[in-house]
Amino acid sequence: MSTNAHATESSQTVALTVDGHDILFPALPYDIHARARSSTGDPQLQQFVNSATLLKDTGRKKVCGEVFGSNYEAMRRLGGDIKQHTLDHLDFYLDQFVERATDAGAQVHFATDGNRANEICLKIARDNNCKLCVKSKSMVTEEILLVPQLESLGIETVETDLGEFIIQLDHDAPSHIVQPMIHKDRRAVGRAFERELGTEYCEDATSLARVARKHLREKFRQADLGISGGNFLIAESGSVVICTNEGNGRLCTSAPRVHVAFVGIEKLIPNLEHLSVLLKLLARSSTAQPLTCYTHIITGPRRSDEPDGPEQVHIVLVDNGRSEILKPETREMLRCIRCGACLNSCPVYRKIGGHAYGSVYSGPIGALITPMFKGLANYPDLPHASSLCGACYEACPVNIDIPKYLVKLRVELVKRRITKLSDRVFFKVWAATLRYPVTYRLVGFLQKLIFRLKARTQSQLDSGDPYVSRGWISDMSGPVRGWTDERDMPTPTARSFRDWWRNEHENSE
Amino acid sequence: MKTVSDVLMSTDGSDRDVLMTAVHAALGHTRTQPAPPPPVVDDSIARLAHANEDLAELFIRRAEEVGMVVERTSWQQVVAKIVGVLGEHKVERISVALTDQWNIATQVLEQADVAMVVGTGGNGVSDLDCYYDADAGITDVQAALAETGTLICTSSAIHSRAPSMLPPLHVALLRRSDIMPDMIDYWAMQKGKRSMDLPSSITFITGPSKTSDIEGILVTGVHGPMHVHILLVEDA
Amino acid sequence: MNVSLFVTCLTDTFYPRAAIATVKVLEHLGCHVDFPAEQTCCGQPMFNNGFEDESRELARQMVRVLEHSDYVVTPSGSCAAMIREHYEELLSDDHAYKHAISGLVAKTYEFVEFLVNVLRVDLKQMDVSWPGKVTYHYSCHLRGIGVTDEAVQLMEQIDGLQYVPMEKMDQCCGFGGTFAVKYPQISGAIVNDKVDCIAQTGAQTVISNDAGCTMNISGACRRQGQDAKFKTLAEVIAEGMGLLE
Repeated sequence: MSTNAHATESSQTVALTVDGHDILFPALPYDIHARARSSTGDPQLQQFVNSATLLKDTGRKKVCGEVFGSNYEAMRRLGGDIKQHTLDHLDFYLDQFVERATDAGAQVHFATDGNRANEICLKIARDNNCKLCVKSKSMVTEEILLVPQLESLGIETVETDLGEFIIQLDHDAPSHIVQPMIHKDRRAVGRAFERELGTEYCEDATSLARVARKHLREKFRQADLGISGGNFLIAESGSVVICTNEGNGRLCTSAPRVHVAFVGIEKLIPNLEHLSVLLKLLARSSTAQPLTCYTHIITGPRRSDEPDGPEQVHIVLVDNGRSEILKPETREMLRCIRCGACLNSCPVYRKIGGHAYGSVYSGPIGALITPMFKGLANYPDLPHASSLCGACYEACPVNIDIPKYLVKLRVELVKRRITKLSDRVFFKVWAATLRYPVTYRLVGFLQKLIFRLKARTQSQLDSGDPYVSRGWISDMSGPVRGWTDERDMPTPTARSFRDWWRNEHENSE
Repeated sequence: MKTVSDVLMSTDGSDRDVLMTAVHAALGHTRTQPAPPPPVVDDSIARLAHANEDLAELFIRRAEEVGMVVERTSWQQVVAKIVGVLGEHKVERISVALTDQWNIATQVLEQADVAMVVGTGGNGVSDLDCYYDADAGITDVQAALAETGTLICTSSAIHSRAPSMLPPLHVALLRRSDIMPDMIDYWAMQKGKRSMDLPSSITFITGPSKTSDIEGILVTGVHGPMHVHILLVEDA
Repeated sequence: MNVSLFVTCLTDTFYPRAAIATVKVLEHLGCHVDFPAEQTCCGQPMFNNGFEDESRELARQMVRVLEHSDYVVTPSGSCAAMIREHYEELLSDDHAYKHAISGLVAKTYEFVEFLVNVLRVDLKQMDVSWPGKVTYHYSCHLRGIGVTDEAVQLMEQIDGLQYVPMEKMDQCCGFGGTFAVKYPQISGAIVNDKVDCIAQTGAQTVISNDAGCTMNISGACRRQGQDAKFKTLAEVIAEGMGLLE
């Protein structure tokens, strides 16, 4: 399995001040510990992220259980099969998509990396004399840092997804694939609006949304460039599918005369009928809705007889590391439809939030694709910051076996000696002692001796039934200190099961 | 480092080759291979609504669950109903997107104290410009899905995208016979159409515009309509 | 019925009573239990940390040790999961082991699963009495091997046992092996959530069928000053049958 050995320089050569930038593009290699510590100590984050993700996860289970019943697993498997099939034959479907989209009047572009994608967009904007851009949510554009590039050309670029708009105003960074400001409270929103829009301070959610609606309406009205992402690309019809709840997706792709869609090459699915399966899974997995409020299926620009719609539709197919992940050993990761269900189910995400992952893509799927995109040596913590509980695998509508791939990345870390030498030595020695019952028992005996001695010195060693009573250690030192930072450590009992078997069970027979 | 103008001068002629080469390499192909048939959408797993159900009743239930208002009516009553809804919401200006065999728009203009905005278009400004001033959009729908309570609005020569997208109130006229059981059925109907024969825009509307971005609190009417009022017309 | 006990390294060393209870209950139910003494570890810690070759060696060893068993029963869910979910792929290139592996995978069970799905016990028929209020931690690895509510089914068959489900029952406890040591703040935040959920049930006894989970949660309870006792379901059943005090 190959991963990029070095950090890609491309995202860091542009010297622009992008607020929120450092959060998603931290110094590399990225060490998760500091941010994880600050997240777990932040009461507001704990409250918001904890309850929001739990609610969505519980909602998903309830709704999918009710709607799909005993077919839920089969449905997820079908979703996974459709995506896997497309990936397995991606060249065919890419070619078909280009042909069909072009037939409908769209212009399809290929971007091998983020730089190229930005270049293509800038050229389109320049050729069309664009001055004001309205943008709906697109993770790909965040990945390639598109917005600062447009702004450098003097094009005012406004995020129109309410959460992204607020994040943009407040010079912050999104922290969840679907709910970008899951970590933010309404007072911060009120202050941001007051400061940046000059509105009177309010903190009622409805009033705040009305302020945003009014402000952004003017932008939609004046905009001459609309940028979107794409939830799906349909090969058979050359269509781009955009799912939103707010309606900004429709507006961004209908109001301005030029529409540019940025979509990762992995978003392809074969035919229109496959959309049924994936749409039925997407919103139910993401927010427990039957469908998002708006599903917009765009096939080319306005037809000559249609009264409105963009004159030009450009579709930028983005690689930017995806063709690497497409290799058989990691291909399954590309099935992702960016629903956020894995984030909502993850006990780790629930406690540390999205910013702690130090990347555009957070949560379980982020822990896989971030090292793939940015280099395993740059994100050595992400594959390990997981208890492998498997909740993500159960939640994933396209059946990605996330724990399996986390372990595969851990294997790579060992093979490429990114894992610390001390860890490698420890595990190899430990494994060696487990090869023989004699050494196993010896190590067990020593462990018991050391632990119980330590417990005794802390006056925490109970006596009694030798197969039951134990000691406790509150304060370990050395590499296992982390355990007792957060909880006590039980010691082995005075006698082991083997002792019992040999002395008491055999004797009683 | 490249300057912005250097960057804008480069062409993308070989971009496709480079990208496809990388894709081929990952797939173990030297050139594009034909694909076997894709997985079948198994009705027994994926279908959630069936033709033998009471589709109108199911549609109403689902539409109401997502926050839309549904009223059953007839062709005789529909104009009066529309006028009533417009009055309720104190509408002053309407926009329409109707295949208007029954002259509904004309009748509404006669009976309600409203003016109609009509798209301009082709003068370099967004064709939608005047539509922003409408308080309500009256549209028919091309299909509906009982499974999810979804309205399907498609663009056409007489259907601007604006009336179901911009105003705070969307009044939708839905013929009972246009309600399909399941999304599977809608896509089956589109099968075989060439891409240029599909509308440039197909929109599935499942509720008024919503967000819960601010502290998870549900707010209606962010960019799209705050109210969707559906008049379910029993066919004559 | 001949059953071989796979005790697991953690249970052997830290929770021998759980294994003792397992043996006693199985024998009481008519099984002949043997203990292949050459067994050591299933290799899960190595596997989870990316030491594939080392875990492969231990897997081969395990297969050899248990080759002649009819059934293999283990008191700790994650070790059963290791064998059932990962051994086949780990040793997929090893033709010599192919037959033995699939055999081992087919005959390895977690204790509760074995009682319900293989022995098909009905404890109501056996006069099992254990008065007390308990709650239950559903450990993550049971998910992977398809064990769902077998433990609850058995608890409902025990006379006098009052089962109070905890909130977020299937949320991970934050153990994850070395995860708990390497990412202590994250693991700590997760386990403290579990401790709160336990406290809210008002139960004095927590049934947990995975040694790793038990070490983690019991250690956190103690640190928080929470006085809960941890037992495996095997121990509760053994006590209820009068096989253990």
